[in-house]
Amino acid sequence: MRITIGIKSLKEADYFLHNGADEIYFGPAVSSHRAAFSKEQEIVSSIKLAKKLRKKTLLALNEIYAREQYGFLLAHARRLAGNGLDGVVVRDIALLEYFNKMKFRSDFVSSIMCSCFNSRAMEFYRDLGVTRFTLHSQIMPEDAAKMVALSETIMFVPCLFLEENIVPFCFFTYPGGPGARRLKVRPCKIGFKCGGHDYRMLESNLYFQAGLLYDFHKLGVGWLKIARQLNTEKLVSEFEITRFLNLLLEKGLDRKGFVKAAAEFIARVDFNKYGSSYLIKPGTDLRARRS
Amino acid sequence: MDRATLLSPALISGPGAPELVKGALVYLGDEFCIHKQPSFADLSAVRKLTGRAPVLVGTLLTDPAFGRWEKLLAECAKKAPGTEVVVNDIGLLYFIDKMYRGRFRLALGRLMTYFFDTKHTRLPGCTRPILWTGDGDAPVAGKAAARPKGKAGAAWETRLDVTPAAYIKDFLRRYAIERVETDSEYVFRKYAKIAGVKISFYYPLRLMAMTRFCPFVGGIVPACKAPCGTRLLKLKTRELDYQLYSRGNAYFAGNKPIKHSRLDRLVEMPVTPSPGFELFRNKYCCPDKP
Repeated sequence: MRITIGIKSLKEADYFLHNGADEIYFGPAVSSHRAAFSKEQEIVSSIKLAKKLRKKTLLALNEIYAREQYGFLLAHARRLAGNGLDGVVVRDIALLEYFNKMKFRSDFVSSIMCSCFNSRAMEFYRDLGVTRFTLHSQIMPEDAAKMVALSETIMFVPCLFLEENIVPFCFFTYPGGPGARRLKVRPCKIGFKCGGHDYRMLESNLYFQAGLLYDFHKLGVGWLKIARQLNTEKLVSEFEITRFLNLLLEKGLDRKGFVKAAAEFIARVDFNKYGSSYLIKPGTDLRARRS
Repeated sequence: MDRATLLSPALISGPGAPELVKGALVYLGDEFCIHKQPSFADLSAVRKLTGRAPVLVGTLLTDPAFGRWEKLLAECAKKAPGTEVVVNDIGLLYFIDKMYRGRFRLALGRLMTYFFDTKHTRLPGCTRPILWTGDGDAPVAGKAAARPKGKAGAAWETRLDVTPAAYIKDFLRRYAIERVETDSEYVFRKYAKIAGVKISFYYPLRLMAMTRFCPFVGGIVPACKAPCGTRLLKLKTRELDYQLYSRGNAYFAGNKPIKHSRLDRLVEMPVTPSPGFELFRNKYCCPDKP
């Protein structure tokens, strides 16, 4: 499977493209917890680097935007496409229709936020020009055969990204936000009391998650996606884990062997040492890591 | 103003089934669970009990679940044309428009109205820390970078996650949607500005999250007899300032019926407060079981 990874700087583009990523994606020149490119020129440099290495680039516009933001987004996407951008990740149907109306052609890729759960929903987006689809993390392999057959597909690595709740229909506030001022982690991770019993929002175990990865690989999903995050060290770690799991898949292990190996490997990884994905961490010296 | 009760097919008859009076309007199905989707036999059973055709309610559908909906729609198109369908999946809307345009009365369900207005489904004041620092049409540096040009004090992020009303109005017309549904007062007021569309409001719960990892069966399962029923679990924690509830495979906050001249229908989601609940774990979610 090919690997697509969300980045936020030219330094990260350089690191991941030289270390096995097949594609990088990034948000518009907006500073946020998800996309930290601050200058369009830096994105252009990343695109040019990818082109030089014969790799791909995507602009992620996976929000719902206000009408007055469309003009900027179109001009931004057009300038980047003029510099070699390969495609645009979309979530907003209205924006997609606007791009079509303004005759902006690109390889559109559906975001997980499109909540595209079936092949009919894929047809809806295909009519709007979407050519590659991100499978929702709560779609199971037994549900996805028609979807994978219909188009090129992307999946998040389940051991690294398998949300307890379905996006975009999870409306819990971030820790510290209104209604959650005393919250230290997301509500899906905290303990509740229900009657006299402990209660937690359910998540699957590592064996189940490793099995999902194996089954989707066998089904023919083409891309593994690593989500953008501010925490560079954690991003690098997730990238390296993804590469390792991908190598295991390509070795042709049987399902039982892969599931055991992958689950036991992930169980040994201490993600806590990197801190939260949502915290700004001092950047890792990526060049040092490469060498 | 109309009143309706939301019932999953498993609750039409048998122990714990509510008494359905003649003329009652039933919303048959479930907005969150693929295991509680209606069949034509369920529709017939409700029509027999109430003397009135129920409204069919769908959720996000996987391909196998979609296949069952295709069968239901084919049967309804022949035997019960004009049935009202609450659509919560863009694929279902697309399919009905292509195959059965004009044969069903369509309502945009609350998942779909959330889909267009994610921001307004968060608790008031919850925003994300996205600040504008782009080149081109937008400001590029300094304090002005935190807001779009000419809108002092208005951060870029405050406008995200809200589909333009003009687009939604056109979308409703293109897909011949008669009704929209929500449990959010913000979303309700947005649609109230669009003439001609009927608006439903859900109570006594407001959606906070949905999942396929169902607490009643211990995870994702291929088939389910809906043991959750209408049980409402009160989840206690000191870390949230509001009361969180679990019902079926979704989480909710409390909600009160809205008062508004455009309110056309109140949809009640029946709940049975449950004193306690021991979380069930199947082999997929139990850490000890490969």
